[in-house]
Amino acid sequence: MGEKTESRLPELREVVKEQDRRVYNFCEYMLYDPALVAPLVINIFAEFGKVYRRLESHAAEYSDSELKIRLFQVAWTFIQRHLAAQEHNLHVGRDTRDLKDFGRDLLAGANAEDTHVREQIFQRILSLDADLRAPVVLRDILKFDDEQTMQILGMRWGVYRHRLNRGRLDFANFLRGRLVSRSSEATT
Amino acid sequence: MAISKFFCQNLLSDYVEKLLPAARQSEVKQCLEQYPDCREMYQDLVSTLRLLEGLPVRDISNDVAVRIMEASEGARSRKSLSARAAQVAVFAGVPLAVLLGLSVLYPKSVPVVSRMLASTSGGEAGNFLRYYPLYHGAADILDAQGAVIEQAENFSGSVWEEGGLSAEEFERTFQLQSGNVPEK
Repeated sequence: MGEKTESRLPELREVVKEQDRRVYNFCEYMLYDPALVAPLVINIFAEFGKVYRRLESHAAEYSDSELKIRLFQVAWTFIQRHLAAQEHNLHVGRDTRDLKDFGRDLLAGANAEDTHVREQIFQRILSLDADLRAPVVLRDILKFDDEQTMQILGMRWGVYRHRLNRGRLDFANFLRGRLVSRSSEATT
Repeated sequence: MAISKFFCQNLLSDYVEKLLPAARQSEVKQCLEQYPDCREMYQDLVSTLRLLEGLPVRDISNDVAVRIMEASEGARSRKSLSARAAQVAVFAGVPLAVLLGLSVLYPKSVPVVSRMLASTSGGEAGNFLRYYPLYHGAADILDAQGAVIEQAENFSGSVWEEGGLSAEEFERTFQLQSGNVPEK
């Protein structure tokens, strides 16, 4: 009684230091307003700190990658909440983003090293539906594997693969500068 | 057997990542050879994946990194302290304030305060007298009552013993008169 239980978790500082950029990027790709990214990420890590301490007090055994998934699950929950609040604004008509201002074909011969091109690519990723964008960002940009992405987004295999495929095809169309996604017509 | 374009396009990511069973993989391959628009979509997908792969993880400023670290480490303790302070204020502070207010406005209505007031005013203590009834005639009364009870207990026998009817008298008076003679 009263003995302090040994925690078998990786150090919080290490996890935060390792993942802060990736979580920040995830939020940056998912949110429409860059000014809101930093506050959201700070909230995410504050919540993750609580989760970590709860796990520590229960002497939970989490590996590095399990803890990483837990962190991104927290991030995804916060992002969803944030997007739900933004959706409301979109319906009200306050959001004046021009989502379909494409034109240039970024797949054929555009230099992806160019900062300007990268900014355009970023904008076109933002044009994807959030539900399709999340799997693409996690799987193809942040390099999570399929299993981890499924766990983070809380999806079943079929749903996840379908959304990933659709997201990629839509994004390919947006990169081509096509205003209407042919893939969404074909695959829905 | 060839698959439809719709089906083929749905399987393109799985085809690229070689997640399909061999038979299905060859069906998709056939479809790509057969339909130019599927083939174009496939090539776009491959280029897109290559482009996405090359996208670097964007860096964050030192300031944000520090704030993130602080949030993850310190947010709970700071928040819980303030939350606890608020709880203490609500659960202890408010009743204490009410009690203090009452004791100031109506000192005699609060028992603790009224006792404290009584103990502080020592002059009034001499006015109280402890009363012991047994030393003031109650013992005589109790003795007299005890004697009466004792007497009564001596006479509290059965009806027959207290000078009522004896068994023989009862038989004579009631049973024989009515002719109701018990059988022997």
